[in-house]
Amino acid sequence: MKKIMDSLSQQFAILGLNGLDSTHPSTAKRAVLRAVAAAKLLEQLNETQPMDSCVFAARLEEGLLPIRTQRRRQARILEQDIVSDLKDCGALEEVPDLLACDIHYDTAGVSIFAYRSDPDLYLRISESLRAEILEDGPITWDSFCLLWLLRESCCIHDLFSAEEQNRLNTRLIDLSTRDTMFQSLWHAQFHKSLERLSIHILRGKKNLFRNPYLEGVVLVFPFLERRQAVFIDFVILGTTVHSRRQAVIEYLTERGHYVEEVRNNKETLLKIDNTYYRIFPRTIRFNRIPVQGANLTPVYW
Amino acid sequence: MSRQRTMEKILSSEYVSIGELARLTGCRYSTLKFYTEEGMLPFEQAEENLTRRYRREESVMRTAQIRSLREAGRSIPEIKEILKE
Repeated sequence: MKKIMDSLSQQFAILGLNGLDSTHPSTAKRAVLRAVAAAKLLEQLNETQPMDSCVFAARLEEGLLPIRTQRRRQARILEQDIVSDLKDCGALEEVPDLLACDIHYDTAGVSIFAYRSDPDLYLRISESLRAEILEDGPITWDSFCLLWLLRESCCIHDLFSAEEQNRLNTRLIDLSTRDTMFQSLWHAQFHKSLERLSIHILRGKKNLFRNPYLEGVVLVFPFLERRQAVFIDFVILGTTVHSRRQAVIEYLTERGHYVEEVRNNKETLLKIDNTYYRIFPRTIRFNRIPVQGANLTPVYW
Repeated sequence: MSRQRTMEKILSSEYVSIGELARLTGCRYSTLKFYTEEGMLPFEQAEENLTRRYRREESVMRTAQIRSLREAGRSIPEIKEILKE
């Protein structure tokens, strides 16, 4: 069994960095890195003897000032630190992003890598947090800190459904009215409103194109949601569906993805890096030349 | 204000909460809750409104047993019958 991280910043980084682009800066990553810095601040504050809530609030506010104005360079250094720590423990790895296999990215020579947390560790941390919040009983200070970090970095939607968030809010409001320490932390903020707005818009766009009717629109205009319409080109003429599927599997395996075929009634899906994709042959025009290949679209259950 | 128990403390204690059990076993919270409600995972509750406590060793072993039976292709009613025996 892998060692469960006891440090708040590492626990949060495992949840927050999972699935984010590791090579390029992004708004979502900036928000997560700001939260990692806040987690480190909380670790320092938690180490000191139990303190008065007013003192805690003042120190927290003082510590959050530089975090709110965190510069790109500082964020990059922090990212390198936390990622190297987690990589040493085997809790995080960098894997090639499926989007880089798309014809447009591949021919342009763009390589994209993404962070992937150890699935077992991710599950243990997220599920113990979910259990503590959704089950009746006391909520520990550490879990509350983790929730606050998830809220400020806009990651809370990844772990809790809309209905669960209602329950979460009820419990946390109840808790913060009874304990002033919880209240001071819950009222503290370090997020940037514009950043949060852009994350919400992008997430909304992604959810919008999950609609089966709009999935077809994305295939015609892939720029609307690039990750939901990956096109892989190959040259196999006069062959069967199976051999074309095999060509895609070989292509993806060569680029370091874990791919396997999964039967779903009459349809065969591809399980690529723990996500299921529907695959179908297609011909597109690329620089006015018809190109034969296959399209991959995520399957939502 | 209580603090989260470290893994060392959890591993040395007799009883664990459902969150700690999820941490120990790597099982989803919803799965553990389902097993509990189906009577497959025994728990103790001092009074009606108090939280459920699970015997650590027994619960971890029981969860592993259920998981291996599921992997062997057994259905939940079949597993319940096996556990009753």
